Amino acid sequence: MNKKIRVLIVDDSKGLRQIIMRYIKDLNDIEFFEAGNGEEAEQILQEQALKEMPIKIVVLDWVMPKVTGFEFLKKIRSVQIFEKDPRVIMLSAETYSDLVNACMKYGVEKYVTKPFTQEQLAEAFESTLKKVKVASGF
Amino acid sequence: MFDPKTRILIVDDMPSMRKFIAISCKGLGFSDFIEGKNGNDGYEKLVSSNPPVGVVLCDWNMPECTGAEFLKRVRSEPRFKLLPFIMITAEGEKEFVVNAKELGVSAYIVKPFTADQLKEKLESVQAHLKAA
Amino acid sequence: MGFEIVSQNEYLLVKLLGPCEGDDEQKIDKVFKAKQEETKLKLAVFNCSECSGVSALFLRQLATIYKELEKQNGKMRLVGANDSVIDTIQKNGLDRILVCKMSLRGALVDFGLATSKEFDVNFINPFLNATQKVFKVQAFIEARPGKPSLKKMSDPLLMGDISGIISIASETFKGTLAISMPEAMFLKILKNMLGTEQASISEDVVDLVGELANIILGQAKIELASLGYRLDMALPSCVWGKDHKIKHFGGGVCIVIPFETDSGTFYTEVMTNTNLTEKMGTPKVAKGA
Repeated sequence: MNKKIRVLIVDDSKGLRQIIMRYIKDLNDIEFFEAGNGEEAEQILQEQALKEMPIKIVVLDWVMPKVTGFEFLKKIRSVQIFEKDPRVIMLSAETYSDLVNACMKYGVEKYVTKPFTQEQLAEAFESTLKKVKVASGF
Repeated sequence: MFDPKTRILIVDDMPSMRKFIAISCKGLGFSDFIEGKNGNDGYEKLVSSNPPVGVVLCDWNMPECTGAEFLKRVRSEPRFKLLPFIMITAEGEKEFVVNAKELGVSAYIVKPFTADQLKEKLESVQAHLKAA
Repeated sequence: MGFEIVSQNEYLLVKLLGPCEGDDEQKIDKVFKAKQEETKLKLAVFNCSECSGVSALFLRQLATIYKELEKQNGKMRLVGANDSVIDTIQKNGLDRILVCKMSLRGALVDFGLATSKEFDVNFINPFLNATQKVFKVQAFIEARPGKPSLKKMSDPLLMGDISGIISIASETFKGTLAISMPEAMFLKILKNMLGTEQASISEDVVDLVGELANIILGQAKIELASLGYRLDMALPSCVWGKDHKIKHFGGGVCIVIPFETDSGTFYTEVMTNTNLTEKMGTPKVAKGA
C-alpha cells in the first residue's frame, strides 16, 4: 500500500506556500500539492480522487482573490465524496469568533491564526496528521 | 373546433403581435377577444371576464410576469385546471417546451406560425377538452 | 446507443442523446477509445444539448475518458449541458474534470482553436436561415440572402429606416441582433400581417419590427442549440427614423447579411464584442435592449 500522505497547500502567495511546506516537510512520507486559488485546488482534489490517490489534508488560506478559502471549503463539503475528507487546516489573520465558528461548522480540523510560528503550524499539522493515520489504519 | 362565440384572451407584450393573433383567429371564425399585455394584466382580465374566457393564447417572454408564471398561477386554481391555455412564443428550445408541459400547458406553438398550425392546435385542444 | 461520435478536423464531437444511464451495450469510454486510436485526435467536445440527464455510472465512464486524454495531454469539454446535468456533475465532485461550457465556441477557445478576431461561420448560418423562414412564414415575403460581410467600424448607422433590435448573450460574448428595413418594406409587412394600410410609419405600429427580430432570434437559437451554442435573449426594442443608430455592445465585429425581396433590401446584423474570454453569468431577461 502506498503510505504517502497527500497534502494540498492552497494560498495565493507562492512564497507563503513554500514557507508552509518548509515548516512541515520534516514530517515523513508527505507528498505535496500546491494551488494558488480555490478553482485550482478543486481541480487537484477531483483529479486525485479520480486516480484513487486522494488528498488527505488541505492547508488553506482564507483570504484569496476570486474565491475565498471559506467559499472553497463550503463548496467541497457540499459534495458527498468530500464531506469528511480531506481534513482542513485553515490559516487566517481573522480571530473574530463568529467567523471561526462559521468555519468549524464546515469541518475544519485546526484553525491557525496569522502570523504563526513554525511551532504553531507544525503542532496543528502533526495532530491532524495523527488523526488521518489512525483513520486510514496506519 | 371551439364554438365561434368562444371568448379568447390574448396575452403578449407586443401590441402588433396581439393584433396579429386576433386576425389569425378571426380567419378561423372567432370574434370575441380580450387582451393582456403581460402575465399580471392577463390574470386580471381572466378573473374579471364576463362571459368567462374560453381559451388563453399566451406569449412567454414578457416584462413583470412571464407566460410561464401566469400559467403556473392559473393552474394552481381548481376552477382553471382545465382551462385551454396555449403558449405562442418565439422560444422553441426543448427545455422551454418541457417546462411548459410540466406547468400544464394545453398546447405549444413556436413562432413563426401559420394559420393552419393555429387551427390544428385549437382543434386538438378542444378535442381533449371534450374527452376530459 | 445513447451517443454518436463524429470526427471533425481538429476534435472529436460526441453527441449525447436522451437520458445517459451508462447502460449502453457498448460503453462510451470503450467506443471513444477506439475512435481516438483510429483518428489520433486528442481534443473532444461532448454536445449535451439533447441530453436530458446523466447517471453517476455514466459520469464515471466520462471520467475514464478524461483520464485517458489527460495522459496524452488531451482535453475534453462538455457544451450545452442543462441544469440537471451540471448539477449531477457538481454533486459527484467532477465539475473541474468534466468542465461544462455554455457554447461550442467556449470549448474551442479553451482548446486554443478559436481566436477572438474570427467570426464563426457556423454561428452565422442559423441567423440566415431563421431570417428567411420567419419572413416567409410570418410576413409572407420571400427573402433571398446576399453575401454576408463585415461592417466597418467607421460606419455605425443602420442601413434601413426602421430596425428591431434584441440583445443576445452567451458564455463567450454579448451582442445584439438587428433587423433593419426600408419604410416601404415595413409598411408592406404591416399590410401582409395586420391588414393595415398606411402611408408612413407611425409610433403605434413600430413594435412589429421588434417582434420580427424576436422571432428570428428564437428560431436561430434552436439551430444554434443543436450545434452546441446556448444563448439567452432579452426583450426586443425598436428604433426608427432616418439616421437612427444601433446601440452596440462592446464595439466589436458586426456581420451584415443583406436580403433581397420584391419590396427592397433589408439587413440582418449580428454584432458582438471581441472580448471572448470575458466570463459571463447567465443574464436575466431585461426590458428592452
